[in-house]
Amino acid sequence: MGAFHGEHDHEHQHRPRIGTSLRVGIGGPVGSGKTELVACLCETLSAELSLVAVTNDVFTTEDASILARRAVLPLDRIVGVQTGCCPHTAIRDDISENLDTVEELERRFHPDLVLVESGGDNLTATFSRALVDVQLFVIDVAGGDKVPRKGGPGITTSDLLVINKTDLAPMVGADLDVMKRDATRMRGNLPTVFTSLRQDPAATQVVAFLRHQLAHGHAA
Amino acid sequence: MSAMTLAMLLLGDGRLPSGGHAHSGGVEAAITDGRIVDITTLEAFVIGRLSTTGLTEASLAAATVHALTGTTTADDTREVLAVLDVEAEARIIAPALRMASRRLGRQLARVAGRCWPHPVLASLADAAPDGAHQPVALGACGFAAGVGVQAVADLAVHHAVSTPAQAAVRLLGLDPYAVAALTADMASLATGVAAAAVAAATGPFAELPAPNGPILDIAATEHAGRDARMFAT
Repeated sequence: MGAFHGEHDHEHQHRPRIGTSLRVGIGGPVGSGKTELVACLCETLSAELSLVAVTNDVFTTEDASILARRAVLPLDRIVGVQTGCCPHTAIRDDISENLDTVEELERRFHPDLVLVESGGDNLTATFSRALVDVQLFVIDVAGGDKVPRKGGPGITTSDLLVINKTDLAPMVGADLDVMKRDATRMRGNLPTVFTSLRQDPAATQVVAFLRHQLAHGHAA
Repeated sequence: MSAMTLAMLLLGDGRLPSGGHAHSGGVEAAITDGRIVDITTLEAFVIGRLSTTGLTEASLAAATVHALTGTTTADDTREVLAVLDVEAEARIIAPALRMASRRLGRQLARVAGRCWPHPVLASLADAAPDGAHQPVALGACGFAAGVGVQAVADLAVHHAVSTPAQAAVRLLGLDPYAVAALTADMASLATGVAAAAVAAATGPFAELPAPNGPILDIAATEHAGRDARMFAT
């Protein structure tokens, strides 16, 4: 987990950072549970940490009101950006919109944690290291147990692979052992967690990962 | 290849990370309103945009390069850029478009600062701390990159055509070859608009061209408040 920052220190030197927030990218296919994870993380962590969220998802006032109803974050701490029909461009090739928004929120709120949720995409999506310090890739059991072996940068290089909706495995005939074996084969030493956000809305394992990242220092 | 040619190609490349991919130049709103439905209506839109806001933007950008060529001190440079930014503000009426224009100016200056570090970019930030309007930023970034008045006018005209064209391909699934051909067919109009912008660049700032498209302003204002939009403008 810790090796990432050492490798990329030189990139951070070009970028004057505002404050010392940990910027976390959350990517993954449509419907895998990215927004749900953001909501769970906010609910679990907002009492002790200052959080902001940038969503690249097709952002509607309905989404915003769902988050508002769950009271996960004040609405002025959630900002939606448009991606011009190309969600992976906005987090990888041309990060201007996201970077601009992240910096604006950092200036305003001095958060401990910045969550950047990508729009639902496919397995080729990955976050630029100039936008986030750490990236989580969220897939789900219902997408099929072959997904981990299909690879792509999200599966192979994300700092944490989150395999969500384990409660659905028996219903969709997904073999979690196969997914675990393939994830290990594709990711080497990089960590993978299996979860069901429905059964564990505190997102315990993801929160533990983020706490570790926050505690063990990231490039600031 | 000369350094200037490389800089110009970079500035005209849609892959340059300067935020443009999130903008449709009014096309998404026009599609929502039913004003663009196919290649013919897209062509009409592009001609209209190029002849109005396209000329306004190209003139501001060209005037910026021209004016910077004549400044000597940092104070002078900042003052000139501040005045041009006010002229741009006066020509961009809809609040949503003003905000987007400043944001795009900020984003262009960010990448230009890495590609072509130059004191003029510090003056630009001083003149407009929240980001200069995009045409003024384009002029300043072009100047920093060693790109001349004509080339900057050409770049502004190219942006005015390619932004809506690309967005229409993504939103309507139009034949990409037909859209590329449409862009190429704009040569005569584009040449005229760029020439008019260059001619205006040497005149008083207050007399820079200011044609506008009221429908673009109204549609952009509605678009900014719309749910589930793909493009910022």
